[in-house]
Amino acid sequence: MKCDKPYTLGQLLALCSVMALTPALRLLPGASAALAGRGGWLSILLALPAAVAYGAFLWRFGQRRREGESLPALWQRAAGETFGAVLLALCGLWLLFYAAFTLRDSAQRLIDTVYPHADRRLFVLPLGLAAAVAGSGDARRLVRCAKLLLPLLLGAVALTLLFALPQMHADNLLPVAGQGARPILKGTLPTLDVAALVLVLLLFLSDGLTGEARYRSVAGRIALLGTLMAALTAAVIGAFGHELTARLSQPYFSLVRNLVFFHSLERIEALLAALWIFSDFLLTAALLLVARRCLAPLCGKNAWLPAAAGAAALLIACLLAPEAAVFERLSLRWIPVANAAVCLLLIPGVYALGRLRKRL
Amino acid sequence: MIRQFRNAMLLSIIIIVGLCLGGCGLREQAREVDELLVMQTMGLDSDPRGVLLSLSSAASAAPDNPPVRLQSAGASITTALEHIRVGANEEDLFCAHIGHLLIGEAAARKGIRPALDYVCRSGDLRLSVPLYILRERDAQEAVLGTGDKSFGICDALDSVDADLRARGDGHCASAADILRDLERYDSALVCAVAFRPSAETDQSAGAEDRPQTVLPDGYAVLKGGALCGFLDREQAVGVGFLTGNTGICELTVTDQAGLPVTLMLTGGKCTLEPRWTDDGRLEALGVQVEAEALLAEGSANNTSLDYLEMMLERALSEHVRQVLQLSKQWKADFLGLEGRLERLSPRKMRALNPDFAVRWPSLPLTVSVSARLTGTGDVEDRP
Repeated sequence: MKCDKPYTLGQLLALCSVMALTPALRLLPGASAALAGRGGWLSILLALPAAVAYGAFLWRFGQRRREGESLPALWQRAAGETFGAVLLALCGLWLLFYAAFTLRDSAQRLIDTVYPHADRRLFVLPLGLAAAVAGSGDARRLVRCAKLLLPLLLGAVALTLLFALPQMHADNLLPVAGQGARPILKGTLPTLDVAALVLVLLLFLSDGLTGEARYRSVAGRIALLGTLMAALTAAVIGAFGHELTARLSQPYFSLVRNLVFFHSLERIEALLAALWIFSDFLLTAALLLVARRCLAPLCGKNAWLPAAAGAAALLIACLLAPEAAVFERLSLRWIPVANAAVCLLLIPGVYALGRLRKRL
Repeated sequence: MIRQFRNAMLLSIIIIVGLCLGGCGLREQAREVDELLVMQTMGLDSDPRGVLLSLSSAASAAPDNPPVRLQSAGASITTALEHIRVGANEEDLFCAHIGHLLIGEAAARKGIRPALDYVCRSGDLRLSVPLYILRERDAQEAVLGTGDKSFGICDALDSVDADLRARGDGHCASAADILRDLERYDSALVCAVAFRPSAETDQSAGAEDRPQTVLPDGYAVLKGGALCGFLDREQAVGVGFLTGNTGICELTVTDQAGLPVTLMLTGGKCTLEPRWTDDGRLEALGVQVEAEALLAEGSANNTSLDYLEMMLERALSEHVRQVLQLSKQWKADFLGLEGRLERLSPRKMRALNPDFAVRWPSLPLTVSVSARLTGTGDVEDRP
């Protein structure tokens, strides 16, 4: 089942770039600093070859599709009709949960940075409803939306990086040699986690690709985004030091709060946090859309599936980790582990099964 | 046609909902900007109830419109702030532009971790807010008593901040800097200020009626989050060299005739030379200071410039030694020497056993200072 409205790889990469900003900002400055110390920025760069390799594997998996075949169909061909549908549903349920988690994360960011006393449901419900509507349709809406938003978001990041330069101290970033290789290597894990999630979404959304699509473009985009995130992490660690960065729940927005533009404009963290809602919206919508496609083989072509997926995500998001401390533990510990299990075990497992069964 | 109508309806609904979500008109607590009372300085003291919080706004440009000063106590900073909000007959308090955090000496001796924790968690305060410790006084005295109708504590601390940016005998550390240093070295330097009569004089008033102000007064040293001592302004010159914050500052020495000569330090640097044993132990530390200065005041005809350079070296050496000695005595690496050594020899520092904090109090030191007079103003003095 191919998508009815195709889009180009450039449009899809724009969507993936915007989507990556949400988990990247949640994990990279803080978790990288906690694991890799002052070398947190370096660990992001070191993770890029592994991310490119994982992307190449997924790309190769996706290329096994026959003419007109969708990824869920390929998945079922590889793992068997029923078992494949069950594994797909498992993946779909995980993505559905991740959509709910993204909604909760978005609310937590707004609470931490702008509205400290607000009820999380105030943010979860409108964003969840909007994302459910967008995710119930075709992916083409999302990629076109992302194409418009990408320059805005990347421009905001670049601007804050530029104005953060005077706050950076080389002492906070160097030397990294004294720490040894192990922390730096451990620090690559958050980057790989973010990259794996977005690349899996790219794999599922590549069903709708039209025109010539080469993996070189994907690899280039991974390198570009990775470098940008390394620069952002360097800015945060350079300004606060890795010890303080690891303690802050929203280190990037704490940095933005410190910035003063041309001695006249300051306190723009609320504006930046509001801009990030676009990234949350697109990520949630894409997750719901892909989750719906994954659940479809098991649930059949039910008209209620999009609404049910959206409602489930909203309900989970409203009930998920009411206390901020529980949410932080979930965000930094359990979600990355579960995501790694799905991206690095389930999907390669399906591919391996297909190869063993000589169906791929 | 139906599709266009549907899209138009959808767009109208989105616009109407968007307008309703503006958040201003529908909330009872909506506030206009000109109704906000923008507080710019926060003072913290210890109190039997917990915390004594003092706030001050900046002086208004309008005459006879002095800064607004508020005070209340509470179990914590947050509760004290709430008491001020409720109890003050003022407009809405706005604390997002607090630009200075002043802590009284007694409160600092008990520990400033709660204050730093508040800065970290607060949605209002920035981590870049500079922090000061008021010597021998409570912060409330300075917050409520600085200045007169035309200036207040905010203007005084702005002036301290601007002054120290160019100078080498002080530095305004931000809350983020202090938090980082406490995490990294378990000690930190904080700008110390003193509450003294202002230099501004009023012809109609006597000297005793001069308004009070805050002035830079060296550094306060924190260890484990609590104040453990002060470094005076002359020792702060030594700190400037040892931490790489060299700026302009004056130093007075005596010439061969015993007359005072003022030298203006214009720059310099400090090099660390660790001596390692073959088995990787840190045996000793050499500290080499190089300074440049100008002859600012005093006749060089009474003495040779070489003699002045020697006197400068002696004075600087004394300040540097005193600072290093205090650091060892207090077992507090507030100079961040461990970090500097780590940059010089990362692998050796990583393998160092026992670690630097343990080794530092008993580490043999050698200090050498070389000073150079690079100018004598617009006078040809050199014989």
